[in-house]
Amino acid sequence: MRRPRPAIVVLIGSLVLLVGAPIAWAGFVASDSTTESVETVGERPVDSSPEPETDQLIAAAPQVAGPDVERIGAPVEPRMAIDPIAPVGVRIDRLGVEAPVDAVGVYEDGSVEIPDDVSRVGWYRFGADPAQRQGSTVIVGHRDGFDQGRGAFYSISALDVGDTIDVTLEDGSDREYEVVAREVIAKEILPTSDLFAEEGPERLTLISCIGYFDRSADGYRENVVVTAVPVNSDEALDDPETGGDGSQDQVAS
Amino acid sequence: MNDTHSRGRTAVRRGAVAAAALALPFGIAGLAAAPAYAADATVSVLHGIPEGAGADVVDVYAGDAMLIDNFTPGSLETLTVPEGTYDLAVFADGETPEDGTAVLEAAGVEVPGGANATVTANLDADGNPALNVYVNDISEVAAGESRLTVRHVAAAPAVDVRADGAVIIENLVNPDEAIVAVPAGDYSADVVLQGTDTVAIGPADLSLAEGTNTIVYAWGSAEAENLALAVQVIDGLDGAPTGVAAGGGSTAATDQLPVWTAGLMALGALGAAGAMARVARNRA
Repeated sequence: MRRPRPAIVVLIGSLVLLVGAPIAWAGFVASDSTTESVETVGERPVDSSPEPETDQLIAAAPQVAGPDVERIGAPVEPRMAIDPIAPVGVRIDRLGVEAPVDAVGVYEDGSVEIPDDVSRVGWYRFGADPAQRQGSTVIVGHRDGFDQGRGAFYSISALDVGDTIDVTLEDGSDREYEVVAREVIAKEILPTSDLFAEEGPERLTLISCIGYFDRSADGYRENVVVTAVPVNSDEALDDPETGGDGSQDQVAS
Repeated sequence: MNDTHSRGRTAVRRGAVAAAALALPFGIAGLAAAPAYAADATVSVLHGIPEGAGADVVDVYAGDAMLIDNFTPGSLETLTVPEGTYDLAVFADGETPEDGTAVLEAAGVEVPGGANATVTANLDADGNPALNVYVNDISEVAAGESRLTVRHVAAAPAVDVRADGAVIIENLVNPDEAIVAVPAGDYSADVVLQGTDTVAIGPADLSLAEGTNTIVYAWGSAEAENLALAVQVIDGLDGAPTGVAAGGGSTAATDQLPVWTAGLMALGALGAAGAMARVARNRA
């Protein structure tokens, strides 16, 4: 039996390395969950309250004692503001997430401020809060840091319809929410007016980033948005185990 | 920050019969036939004539119908009124259009549906009572910001407006207004004689909430030493943030070859080169 020439063996082995290494790396990248596409599940609650009537009968002002005088115009009562109660902690048992919540505003470019410490998340203080009983309470968090690893919200894209999120408020009370939608949306078309609405159905909105990270531009190209409604509200599913009407997609995680 | 000065529209003086029509810039010519269901406008009225100037307690009329009863100096009332064109008149309390003489009046004030405006009864720069009509800016305010409107309706010379000691509005004269956008927050504000540090009004704590238009009126008479501030707040103007940029990328896969891949490829290239040379030598 002829011994195989060692040079040929080395040549074949080397070519395997030369070609195989990048292929192996590409496979590794493809299996990374950050680049795997995340399906949208569920549906955000819509504001179904009727449009306020702009056409009105001429309003009659209350009559005052004295001569019988025709009145015009109806006094506008100042709206009684409800003092906000800030979220101070968020917990997602299914993902093992527990993070403190800071009150945040906006950066100079008008985008939401996000706590630099990726283990902390931020409540948008110029929007709704759970005390208002309406509108979207928004909590944002970094997916990861520049030189920190995974952030508290790294895995919220794995949340599914029916999962629960617990929020602790600054007055010590807890609010429980149930996920009704999870979406991945290109950053440029994030529907901010809807996601940050202060009126309409009461909901909790978690926002982070996901997708391809463009180092030469603005970073992550997409937002992941999780919408949850207060447990026991009309929009919550009747049975979180079986999943409401059963028409939502199940995602293999 | 941008500040803009614009003139309030000054109406007729005390006692004169109004001939000129006052119109808001987007005024309609007039309703041909008022529908049974009319669109409304929001009209605020400020009684900015200080006591002792002949209008201590007044009634405000629109045509023959009373708008405001028992109106006292420094008061501001907000009403929804049907859109239309109105003859406004101010009477001493208890007097009516039938039996009284108007203290102030302005005919033909056009109020379109959806408009938000403030009518002020105040002293002009010379100390005479006047009516002014201002359109309130209810356009969207950028996220995180607050709109501040200042209107000079006092019998006083030109002033500067300061927030936390810094001048934010310069050289404001009666009956002009200025509008600035500032970061939402609490400020200590005062009004000084233009170009000086002489405080004419204040200091006053101003809480400028995000997404609101806080409208401050400097009213009264410098001579009578009763200059004061009146404040009106319109809220619900806040715009949503521009977006959420959340992630530094440390866990993201990139399109640049990582070190280990490059290293193995280099090893493979060297090995292949060496082996091919050996194969070539073997065949030679």
